Amino acid sequence: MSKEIRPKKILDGDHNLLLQVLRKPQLMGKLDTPGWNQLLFDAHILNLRARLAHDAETLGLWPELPDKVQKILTNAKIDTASRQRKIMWEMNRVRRALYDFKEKVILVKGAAYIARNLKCAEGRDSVDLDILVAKKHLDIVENHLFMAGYASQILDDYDQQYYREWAHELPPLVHPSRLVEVDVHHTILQVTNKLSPNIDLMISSSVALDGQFHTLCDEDMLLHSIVHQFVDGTLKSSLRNLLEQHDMMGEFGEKPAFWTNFMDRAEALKLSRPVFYCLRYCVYFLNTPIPDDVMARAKENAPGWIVLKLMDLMILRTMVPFGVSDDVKRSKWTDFLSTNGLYIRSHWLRMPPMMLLSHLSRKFFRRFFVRQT
Amino acid sequence: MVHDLLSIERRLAGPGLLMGVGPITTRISIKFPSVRDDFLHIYKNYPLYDGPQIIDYYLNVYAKNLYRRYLRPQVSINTLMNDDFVPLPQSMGLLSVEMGMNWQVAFGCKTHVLFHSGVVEKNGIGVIIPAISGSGKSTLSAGLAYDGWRFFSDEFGMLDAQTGDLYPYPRPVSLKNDSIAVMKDWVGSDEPFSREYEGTPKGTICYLRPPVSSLEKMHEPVKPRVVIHPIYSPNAKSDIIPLTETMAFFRLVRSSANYGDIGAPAFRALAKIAKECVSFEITYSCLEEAIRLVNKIIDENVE
Repeated sequence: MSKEIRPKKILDGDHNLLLQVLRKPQLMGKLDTPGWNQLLFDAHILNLRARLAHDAETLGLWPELPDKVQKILTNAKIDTASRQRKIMWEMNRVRRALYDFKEKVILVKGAAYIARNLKCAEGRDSVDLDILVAKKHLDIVENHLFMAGYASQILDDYDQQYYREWAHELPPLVHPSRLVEVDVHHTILQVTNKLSPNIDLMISSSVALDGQFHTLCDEDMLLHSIVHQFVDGTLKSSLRNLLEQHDMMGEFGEKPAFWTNFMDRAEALKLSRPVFYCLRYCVYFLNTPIPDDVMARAKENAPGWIVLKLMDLMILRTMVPFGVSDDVKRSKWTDFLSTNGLYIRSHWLRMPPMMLLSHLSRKFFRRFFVRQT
Repeated sequence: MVHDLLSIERRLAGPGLLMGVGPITTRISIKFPSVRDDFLHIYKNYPLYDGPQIIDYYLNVYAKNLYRRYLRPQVSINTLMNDDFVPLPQSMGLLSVEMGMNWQVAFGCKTHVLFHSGVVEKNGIGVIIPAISGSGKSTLSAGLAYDGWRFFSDEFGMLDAQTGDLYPYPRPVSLKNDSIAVMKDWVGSDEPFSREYEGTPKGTICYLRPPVSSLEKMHEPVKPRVVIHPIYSPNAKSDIIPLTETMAFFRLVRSSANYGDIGAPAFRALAKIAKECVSFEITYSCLEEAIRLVNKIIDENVE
């Protein structure tokens, strides 16, 4: 019973105005002043104001919005557009730095969505440029970037070593005159993560964008977003990521073979569990239209009911933050426990217990013994 | 506007007080009574809203815990905008409030081209006074404001890129060190000043409320006509140097906080100012001299 795709309403998502508006942007035409304050506040906390601006414009609602609201949303719109422009320019600079490098450079996350002009890029705030290259090419790519003036932001020896030995990316690089962070990945999850998929398979299926830059294929792009959110990332206030998956499903799902390919791919890469979570919460929060047979297939990979119950309890409490706007009274304590529960979970998946213990204790004690300069 | 002081105080302490400065509405809540007193004194003549308003920014001034509230009081602020401000001692609470509001506008406002500059107006002539900290732009803007000009801002020039109009954002003037005595002398009354906050990283700071006549017209824009880049130097001979159009353009770009974010519309708006306004650099050694130079520029170049 608890494996129904739609969780029981522990926290009534229908009471949250932002969720209602994301599902049905037409509601923006009917809001009063307190309503706008609620909506704009939550959208600010979740970094979704530019998205609202975009939705209002596409639906032709923009002229009906109060002047003040137009101004506030315009701030967000200009901000997001400027960040996207910076990311595109950084891509241009990376392309130049890697001119000699003839292997695939795969754009991932925000940069890929922008470069491929996907729906989920519209009004999405991207901060870093993320690229993925085969592990054997890491050194040469890093050297090229150093020669072009990029510098590592991580100076601490332990952190440097940690990144190089265990992480899925190099320590972040930044060009001192542009200050946009460039993350060079060689896989999508930490090497020690239990769910770390076969990255060679993903790299070989990537599709060319132009000469040098590639993106992951549609199925892998969606899987990457899911993995990033449900396996590795912080789930707190990550509605934006769920929305990005929702958009991709809408856009890619129009191709007839997409869903079958996607579910097959998830199995091949052993990512069916996170896919189950994604579909479950997309339907719950955003009413994503997903074919019944896909749902049925996803349910085969549901966890046991205790785990599922726990995930529901935690996710429903953290996805939408403890804002000013909820009609539902929420306890700060359960929110706190949920957030930290999910934090521990993501670390638990990330590395084996002994390693986790030594890593966290090291980070903990460093606070007291190393003075930051 | 007449308000019940008790209810204002209660709102400021609790759910937040809605206050308007120029085009921006902020909801402010302050948990420290002494900081509330400082705040209400310096923002005495500003418009407050009783009914619902659409809110631009939320500023929460609070103590991290009971220890920081009562035993060794320290003021923290939350602007909800990726800030990371160092808490200040309770006695300097108003500085935290001002820093928070500056931060919100500097990083949140993209609908207007922002200049790091003072702006004043007289007879429909808008004057932009761009400068880095320490060049005396606050003192000069405040000096003009208490000499018959309308005060727009000492810190944030706000330009509507579409219409080319300057909008007032008349926050209290932040005066530092020697300029405090100069301005107290100039204004001739202590009433519009805040307490003096000693021992800050920038020395002693004191805030000055703009003239009521400027606050009453905080929604009326003006066209920019003159740009004056001030250089204060205690021993210098006073001087006026005209700037070429190209130079005027680049110095405006350099003084703008969000030029790059806004992009093409900002470029066009600044090019228009560089073309249509007269631009000068002035060097001066005291406030009277600076005001004389400003008036001379206006008399000789406008109309």
